[in-house]
Amino acid sequence: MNEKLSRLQDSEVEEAELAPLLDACRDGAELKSTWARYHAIGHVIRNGAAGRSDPDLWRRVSLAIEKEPVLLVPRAKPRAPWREHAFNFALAASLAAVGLIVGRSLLANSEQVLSSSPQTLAANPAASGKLDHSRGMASAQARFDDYLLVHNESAQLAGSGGLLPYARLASMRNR
Amino acid sequence: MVELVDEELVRRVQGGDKKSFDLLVIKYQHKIVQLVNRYIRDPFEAQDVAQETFIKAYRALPSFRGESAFYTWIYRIAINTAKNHIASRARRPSDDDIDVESAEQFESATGLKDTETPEGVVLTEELAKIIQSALDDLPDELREAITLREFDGLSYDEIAEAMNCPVGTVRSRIFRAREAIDRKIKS
Repeated sequence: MNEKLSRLQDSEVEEAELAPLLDACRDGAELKSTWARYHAIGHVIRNGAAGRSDPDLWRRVSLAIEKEPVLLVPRAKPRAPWREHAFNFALAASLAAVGLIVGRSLLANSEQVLSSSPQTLAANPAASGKLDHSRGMASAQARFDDYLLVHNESAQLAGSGGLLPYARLASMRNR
Repeated sequence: MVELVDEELVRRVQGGDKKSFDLLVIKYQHKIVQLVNRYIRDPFEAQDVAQETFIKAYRALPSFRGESAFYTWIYRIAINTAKNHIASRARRPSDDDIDVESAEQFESATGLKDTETPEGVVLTEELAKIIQSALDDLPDELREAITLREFDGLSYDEIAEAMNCPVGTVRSRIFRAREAIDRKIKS
C-alpha cells in the first residue's frame, strides 16, 4: 500500500486506483501519517532546512474542522448532449410550423380581399377582373416571399437549421 | 492527474466527507506555510495564519466550482488571510495595552494558544536534519531518482529517460528512497 501511496504523491496512479487509495488513506491513521511524512520529505528535499513548517499542522486543522458543520453541496447534473439536440430540433420545427401557418393565412387573407374588392369589380368587371386578380396574387406572393426571407434570416440566427436556410435564402433572392 | 486527485478530494468534502479534507491539508500545508512566510516572518504566526487559511477554505468550499485548480484557489485565500492578519495587527494596540475584556478575543486571534508552542518548529528543524542526513546516506541511484522527482519535478517517464532505466525501476527506486528516509524519521 505504501508503494501506491508513493505513486499517489507523484500523481502516477491509474484512475481506477484513485478512489480506493483515497478511501484507505482517509480511513487509515497510519497511512495518513505516512503520507504526511512523504510530503514532509518532499518539502525538505525541495527547500532544505529553510522550508520549515510544522508537519502536524494538518492535525490541528482537522480538530478545528470537526467543530465545523458538514458540507452538503448539491452537484449540478450535466445536461445530456442528445437532450440539447432534441431541444434545438424541436425549436426549429416549431419555428417552421409557425412560419408556415402564418404565411398561409396571410396568403389566404390577401386572396379574399382581392376577390371581394368593389373597385376592381366596378372599373372593368369582365375584362380587367382577371388582370387585377393576377396582380393581386403577384403582390401577395411578393409579401409572402418577403415574410419567408425574414423568417429564414431569423431561423439562421437561432442556429438550428444548419446550411438549409442559407440555401433557401439564396434561391429565393435569385428568383 | 494532480487536478484529478484534488478534484476527487474536493468532491468528497463537498459531499460531506470531512476526513478527506485532511488529505488536502497534508498535501498543501507546507506550501501554504511557505507562502504565508513571505508575508509574515514570525514562524509561529505564519503557522497560525496557515491554519486559519485552511479553515476559511473549508467554509468557502461550497462556493468552489472547480473553475480553477484547488491550489490556485487556496493560494488566493492564503494571501488574503495573511494580508488581513497584517492589517489587523497594525490596527491592534501593543500587547502591553490589552485590557481584560479584550484578552479572550485576542487569545483566539493571535499566537497565544496552547497549540502555538515552539515545539512544532523545533520538531521541524530536527525533522529537516534527519531527512537531509537520510538523503545523504541513500545509495546514489535512489538519491538521484527521488531528487529528480521532488527537486526537479520530473515525471516517472522523464526520470526513466534521464536515468536510462525502465519506468518500473524508477517507481521502485523512488518508493525505496522514501521508505528508507521514513524509517530514519520513525526511529
